[in-house]
Amino acid sequence: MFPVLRIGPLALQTAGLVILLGFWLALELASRQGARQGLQKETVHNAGFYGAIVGIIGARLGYAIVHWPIYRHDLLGLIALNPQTLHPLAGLITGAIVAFLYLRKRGASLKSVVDAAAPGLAVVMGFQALADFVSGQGLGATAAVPWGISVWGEVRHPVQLYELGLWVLGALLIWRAGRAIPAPGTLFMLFLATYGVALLLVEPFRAQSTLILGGIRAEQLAGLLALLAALWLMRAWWVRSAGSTSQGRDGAA
Amino acid sequence: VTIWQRLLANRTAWTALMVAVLVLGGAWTWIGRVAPGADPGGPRAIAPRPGFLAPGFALETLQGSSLSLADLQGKAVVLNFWATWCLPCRVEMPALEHTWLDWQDEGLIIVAVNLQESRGHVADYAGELGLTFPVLLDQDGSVFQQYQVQLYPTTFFIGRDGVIHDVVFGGPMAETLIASKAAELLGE
Repeated sequence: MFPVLRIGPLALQTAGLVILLGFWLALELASRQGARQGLQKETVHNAGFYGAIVGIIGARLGYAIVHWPIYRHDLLGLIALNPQTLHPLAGLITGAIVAFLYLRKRGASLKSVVDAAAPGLAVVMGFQALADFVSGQGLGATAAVPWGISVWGEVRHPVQLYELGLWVLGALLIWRAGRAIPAPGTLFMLFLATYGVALLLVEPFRAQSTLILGGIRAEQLAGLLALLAALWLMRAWWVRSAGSTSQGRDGAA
Repeated sequence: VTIWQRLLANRTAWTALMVAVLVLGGAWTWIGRVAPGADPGGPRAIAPRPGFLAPGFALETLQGSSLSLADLQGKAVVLNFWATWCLPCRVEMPALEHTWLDWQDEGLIIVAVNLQESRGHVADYAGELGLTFPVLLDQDGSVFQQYQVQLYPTTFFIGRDGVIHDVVFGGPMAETLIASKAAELLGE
């Protein structure tokens, strides 16, 4: 595990570097998928850039809101150069909203935006798993399997690599499916289904889980529900899209 | 027409897929459940990383008495590794002191472990800054090695249960960072 990468006098946090690399690759994939769907590459790049800037601000504000009793006495803490005081979910939501509004203003629909983002999101998830692996976060449970990895003297499930493998497969599948999307929104549902599969399959091998309902792992249950919801919506949107297409054809005839 | 489109067009096949996911996924979730009182990851090992039990140590304080991690059992511990020659370490010391003054009554303790400097030099420095939290002297660097500190400062946030919750590599840490991590430790 290499949480810190030392290059001469410089000490860089490996996880941050890996995630930055993942974001760059994700933006490139999103612009290419957007181009397949008729969006301009430059427009998608700009949306990603503005989303990232506002996302960082949103992440800091989100963290400050969660810890408001501390920040209200020290508002200068809002501009502190500590990446540990970011709220990832708040950043993701605010960044996504800004990127969407930017694209919406240029005529893109919500479903086409999330479809364009789907391959990139899968790549980001894969890089997040890789970042966890190199920095030693998100430990697996102790295991007696030949492919287990030794972490501080104990053999454990390499859960980050399980996840990485699933996301590599998921990203390839989503990228291939993106060539001919059956109905708007369905490519994003394929991403959500992959997320559900990753949670459902990998969670039992983790060292830490949130337990509910007498020992059920909450993340695993959430994964199952996400997978079912994604499958249901995929079909519902396809039926609606197929219906409107045939109605259009009937009307034209 | 792709396989995906063919599947979507076939209502029976899609329903069968959803039922299979529900049954197999439900069974897998049931198999993956954790027995009451058990730790999902098995017994916790000792290592200087989040999710593990913090390695034990005993060192001398500036006053000459001994302080061990075991003495702090039941308290939330902010364990800071530093040296007086390290600029970011010096910058964050007042923030550590403020946090200590604000939260010590809640069960928080801040412990700063100094790397291989003389007692007199460290005592002068601590006096200059008015540090009141315990400062320990790691004269042979063994605790730095035990915690695999590669970067100065490095700070470990240890819960009341003795488990490391977070590690911050580098600095200086803003007071909001130290206080928010401390609040998370005390809230658990």
